[in-house]
Amino acid sequence: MTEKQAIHRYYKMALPAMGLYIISIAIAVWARDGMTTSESIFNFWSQGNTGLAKAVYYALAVIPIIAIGGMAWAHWRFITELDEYMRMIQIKALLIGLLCMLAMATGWGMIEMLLRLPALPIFWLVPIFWLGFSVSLGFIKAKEKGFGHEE
Amino acid sequence: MEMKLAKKRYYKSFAISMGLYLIGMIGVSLMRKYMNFSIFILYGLTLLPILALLYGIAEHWRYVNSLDEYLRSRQIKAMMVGLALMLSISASWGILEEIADVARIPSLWFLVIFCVGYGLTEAFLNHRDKKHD
Repeated sequence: MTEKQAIHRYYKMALPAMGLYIISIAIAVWARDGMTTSESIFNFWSQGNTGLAKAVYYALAVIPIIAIGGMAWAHWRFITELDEYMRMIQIKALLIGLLCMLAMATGWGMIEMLLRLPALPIFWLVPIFWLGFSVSLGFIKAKEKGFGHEE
Repeated sequence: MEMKLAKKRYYKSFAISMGLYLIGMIGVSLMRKYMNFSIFILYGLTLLPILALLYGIAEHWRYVNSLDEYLRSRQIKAMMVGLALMLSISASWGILEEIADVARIPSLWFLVIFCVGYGLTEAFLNHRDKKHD
């Protein structure tokens, strides 16, 4: 399979998953905040039945989790479809993303534990990973292209 | 580099990093509890265990790079499983924390989660390879 085909297949799966993730998070946050105010339509579930309201939260939280799973699967498939050289670039960027995530979780976690600082919501570890991955991927690709020109 | 030499170098630096980590952790905890240092000094001292852990991670990276191609790919596979475990827990539980108000996981536990995923996968792959041999 060519790189173009692999990219096309990746976008076909990743973009709808990303859209679903953003929409479902927005709905879930709206539901959460709405339930604390009297105007929310979600009060239909929560009025006088907090057990049911909790179940609604859980159900709403499952959708973005599925979307993230879809994105991760699309990425994994994309990596396996690439040639060895491009795969290595992706793996390097993934490992740098992992390093960013570990550094943040460890560093903040330590300060949080030792100095009683406010906890870092673990929800943010995923964006930190993607940021580290994307920046390093761009950097590695630019570096490789630079070397190509020198040759 | 010879595998034995790479392993020896890795264990040496890992022991140093873990030693510094323990000293830093215990030291800062005791200082916070029994001494009246300014918060800025404590912030500075907290850097010691953080840097010790990051040094351990960097040394592990160097160790992986010094292995032959086959063993390196096995290590990378195990790291990817550790990463997948971390990502799935932070994505799923993180969303539940924000939306459903479940109990919070301290972020320091993510190093442990990664090490468990990585270690178990590496042990499994090692066992599978030995069985094939």
